[in-house]
Amino acid sequence: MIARRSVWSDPEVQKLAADFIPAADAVHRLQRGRDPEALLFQLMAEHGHYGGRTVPTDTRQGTYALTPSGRFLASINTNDAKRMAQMLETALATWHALTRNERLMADDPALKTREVVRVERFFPHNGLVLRVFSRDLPRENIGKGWQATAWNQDFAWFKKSEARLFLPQDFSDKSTHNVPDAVARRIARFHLVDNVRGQTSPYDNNALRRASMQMQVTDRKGSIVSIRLEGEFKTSTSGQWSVSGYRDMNKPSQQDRGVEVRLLGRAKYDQSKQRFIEFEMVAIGTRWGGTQYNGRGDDLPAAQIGFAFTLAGDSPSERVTPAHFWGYGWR
Amino acid sequence: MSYVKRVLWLAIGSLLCSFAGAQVLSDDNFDRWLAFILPKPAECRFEAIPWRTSLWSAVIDAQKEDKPILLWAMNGHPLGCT
Repeated sequence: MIARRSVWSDPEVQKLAADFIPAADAVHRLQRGRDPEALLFQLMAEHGHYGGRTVPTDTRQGTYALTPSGRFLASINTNDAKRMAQMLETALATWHALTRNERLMADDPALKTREVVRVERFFPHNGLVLRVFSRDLPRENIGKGWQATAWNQDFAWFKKSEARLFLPQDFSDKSTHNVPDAVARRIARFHLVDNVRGQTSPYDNNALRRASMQMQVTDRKGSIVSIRLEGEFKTSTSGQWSVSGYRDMNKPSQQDRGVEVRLLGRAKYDQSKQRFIEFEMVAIGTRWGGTQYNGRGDDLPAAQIGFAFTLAGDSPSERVTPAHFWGYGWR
Repeated sequence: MSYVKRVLWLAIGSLLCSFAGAQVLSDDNFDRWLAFILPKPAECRFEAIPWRTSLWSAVIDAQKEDKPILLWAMNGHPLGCT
């Protein structure tokens, strides 16, 4: 997450990256999958910076340079732009020393695309796709360096039938209605989570204390229906787990964590297109505690957090799967 | 300090002053909080790189263009939540 700013925003790194075909991907599936994409990664990554490593974890996360044929060129896991630039230069030098046969696959990889099994196959083309952003609210003891301005992002998916649940059955009805429980629960358990400083875990159903959301039609002009959204959410759980990454991974201790926020939103739905054309929600409130990798080990006391939901665009980078998609229960 | 930076800091200062203590959300401050939480252009410069969102799509394009692949692989998708 830090690398978004410290490495990939660096002009020198961006200049070098232009000599590559750049890709971003989640390492977990690449490490464990059995399809052509995952197998290519697994063979290549064992030549890299974490090759053979099992302690403290077996992760192979980092940045790799490789040929289309799957040959390893160079790799590193760093938040330092200069070190990344050096790695890219090394990779390019190695690349230029290879023959065409060494660089490329013998057969067109596109022929194997159908064998690649990715979660993006569930993308809700006719539904509702939201970008979800999180950030700490201003406070005195917010931390130093990147922590002071940390933010993160995720995506929230709703099928067409689920997106319709944000609206009343009768668009002329201007009374207040509850948004169905399934939608409110998804927002609370998977999207109102403290990932500001890094990835975190979702909440189980039994951690849900409140997930109340109402909608009201505020205007109708032609086929456009405007709605207002309001909600209150609270999740809270306790138990034994780690909160400081690798440092306490073998010493889980008693912990609490939770989120309590108020949400407001506004959206416009086009009846003729049967889809939302505008959608904005903001949630403000309190978070407390931490999880193993969300960077709160030194920031466990309650503090204020904010979430913003906006309509995703059509670019490929806005089709990334929600972090906790498997909790949706889609099959 | 540039005009944009001055305006940004004034907005942050205004938020701090307005909501010292418990910071609340209302219809009146909805737009200000939305703007505060959303990433600023300077925070999104990493998106200037034309990232493919999967390794395999990069393999296909790299094969066509005879170029090496740069793979940013993290725990959690780097263009989503990591």
